[in-house]
Amino acid sequence: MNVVHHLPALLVITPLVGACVAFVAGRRVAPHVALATATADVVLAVLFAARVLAEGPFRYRIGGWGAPMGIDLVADGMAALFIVLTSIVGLVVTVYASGYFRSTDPTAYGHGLFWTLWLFMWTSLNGLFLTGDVFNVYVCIELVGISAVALVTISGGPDALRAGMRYLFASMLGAMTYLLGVALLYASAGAVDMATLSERLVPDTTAATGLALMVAALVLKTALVPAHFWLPTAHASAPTPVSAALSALVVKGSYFVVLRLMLDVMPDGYLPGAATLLGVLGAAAIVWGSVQALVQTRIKLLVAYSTVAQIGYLFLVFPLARNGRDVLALALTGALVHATAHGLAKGGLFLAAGGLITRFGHDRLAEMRGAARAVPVLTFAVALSGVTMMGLPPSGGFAAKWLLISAALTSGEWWWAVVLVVGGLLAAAYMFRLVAILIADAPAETAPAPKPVRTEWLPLALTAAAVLLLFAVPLISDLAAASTTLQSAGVTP
Amino acid sequence: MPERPRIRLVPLAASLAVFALVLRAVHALPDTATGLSAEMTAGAKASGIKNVVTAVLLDFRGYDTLLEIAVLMLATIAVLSLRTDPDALSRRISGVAGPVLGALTRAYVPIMIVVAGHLVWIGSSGPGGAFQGGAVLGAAGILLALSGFARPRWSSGAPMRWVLAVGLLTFIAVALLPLALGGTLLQYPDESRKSLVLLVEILLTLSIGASLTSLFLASASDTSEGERR
Repeated sequence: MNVVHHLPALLVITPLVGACVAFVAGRRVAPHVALATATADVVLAVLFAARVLAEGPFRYRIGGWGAPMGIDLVADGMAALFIVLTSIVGLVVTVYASGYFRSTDPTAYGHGLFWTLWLFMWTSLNGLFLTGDVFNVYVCIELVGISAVALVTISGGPDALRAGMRYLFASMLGAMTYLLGVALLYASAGAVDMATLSERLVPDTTAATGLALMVAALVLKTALVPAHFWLPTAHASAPTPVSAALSALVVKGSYFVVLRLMLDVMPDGYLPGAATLLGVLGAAAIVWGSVQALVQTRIKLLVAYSTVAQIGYLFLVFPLARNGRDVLALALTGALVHATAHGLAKGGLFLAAGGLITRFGHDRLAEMRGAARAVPVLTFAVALSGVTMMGLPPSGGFAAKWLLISAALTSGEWWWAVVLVVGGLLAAAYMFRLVAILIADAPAETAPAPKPVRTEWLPLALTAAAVLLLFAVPLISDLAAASTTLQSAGVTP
Repeated sequence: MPERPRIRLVPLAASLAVFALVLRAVHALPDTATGLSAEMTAGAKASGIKNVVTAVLLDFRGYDTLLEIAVLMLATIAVLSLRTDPDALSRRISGVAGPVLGALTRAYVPIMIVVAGHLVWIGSSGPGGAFQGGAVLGAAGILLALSGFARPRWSSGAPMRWVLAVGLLTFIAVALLPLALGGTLLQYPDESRKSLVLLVEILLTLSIGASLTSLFLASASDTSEGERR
């Protein structure tokens, strides 16, 4: 058996085995199981990306049946990028969590189950990035949804339970609506495999309604304005490692499926108006999320609203994608760089915010003045994440905005470029406000650190990676060229 | 004072709009189905699993089922993660509530176990299978707990976690087996297809039954009505 041939399957099965073993082994052994699984997943993810870069996209036929009867996994550059991002953020979150849950109440029964739930979430994210089957997407989003809600409520506090309940309802509404859409699509086109669907799709009412429902459901799960109502409380009241995973990775899962549906499954001109609508909602998200982030008084809510804003950029790719293959390549690469940069920066920012909350014993921004003197590493991590979020050079966020603005100007739809610039200024406003509070010249009232906190370096590692991402842009652009979207559009790497 | 139910206009309007859209979409359906059922039936005949539902669930779309089993196990773990004391309900009910209940439960539970086994066995050729058998097994577990029979020691803690996970772990092992034989994930070798599917189904039945019982018992309130203030 050659591992390289089975990488897509192993990327789903490895964290799934880890989840089962962590559950059976019990709370003492579970952190070690999770760490071993996370390390193995990083190795598999890198091997997978290397293979896709070397050989281009390929399909993995589960059970040997092949689509449309069986389920195919689609291994392409876009999947590889998100899987590598998940493995890096995942490993950091796993290491951070082993410190985090040691310092919280060890007798809380639920905490022992964190590792199992977290590995289930990892399984479902990898499954989502790899699947080429719209029904299998449904099974994966159920797994993502249930594990995410359980992870939010794991601390058991009343705020977390209330936020988790709201998250659960939004999640179920999304999953059911999506399933309804799949049923209509199958009734019309007679297949659930994405590649088969893209060949068979005819513009009839049934298929169009089905696809519209599916995209709407995924937009709800991605928390695009105005369907963002569940996100800030859910992301802010979760335990810190969970907040980081939710903001950095989970919203990208459903976004990834929107990319597949809008750019791969639907032929040009299908669902007229949908692309423009998504772009307009994205622009609204950038403005609304940033304004909300500006007025928050609690640090985790500020960070969560910034996620609402940053999600908006990801949706600008859809209106731009209709302007020929050169603009499509620019816009898609820009969106992928942005998703990666935001994943790293926001993962790091949430971990840093969690570290500040631990040191101050509360989450009130106004009382965090002068934190820089007591916790310089965390403050530096916050500042670095700000660099990428505003899109200052040199950072991943800068490259993403540059690519998206180039796409907008090349296409002649200059107004999207205005949105991008305004978004950067608004991000600067809320990030400067946060950093100004932390570096203010005031004695900070932090609790003395109980022991040297090694985990403070983890958020810095992630935000620094987001800045250094600028140098990985050629790699991401190669991965984008190895995506099924750009290959079928005829863009040569 | 209980909150008065309010009619929320926005969700109501949204639901009605979706309903109208779906109605229009269903009305526009062609009269002849374009699904995959013909291919599936032919494939099931060739694979030796006569019940096409079982063939679809465990073979053609076995990957979906593998992840669905993960969903069920995850749901159980998610409910367990909310508990401060996962065995609260069984501790509250103690002692069998009367001779009739005790005698009936003693008579029914063995029959239910046999029915569950039968459903799994006939699943390869007719309606039945792991989900149906597991549902009957789960009901037997709930009946035992609610009638006040003492739980055996293995039904909580580490042994119970094994029972919950054994179905999924077996399924994963069987899914990975073809990789050593040169196939892809879940590509059962033709000669052992039937026996592998049966093995998976039997152990899945145990885990599904245990999951359903645990879900029910763990979602009971920590405190009984009388203890609330």
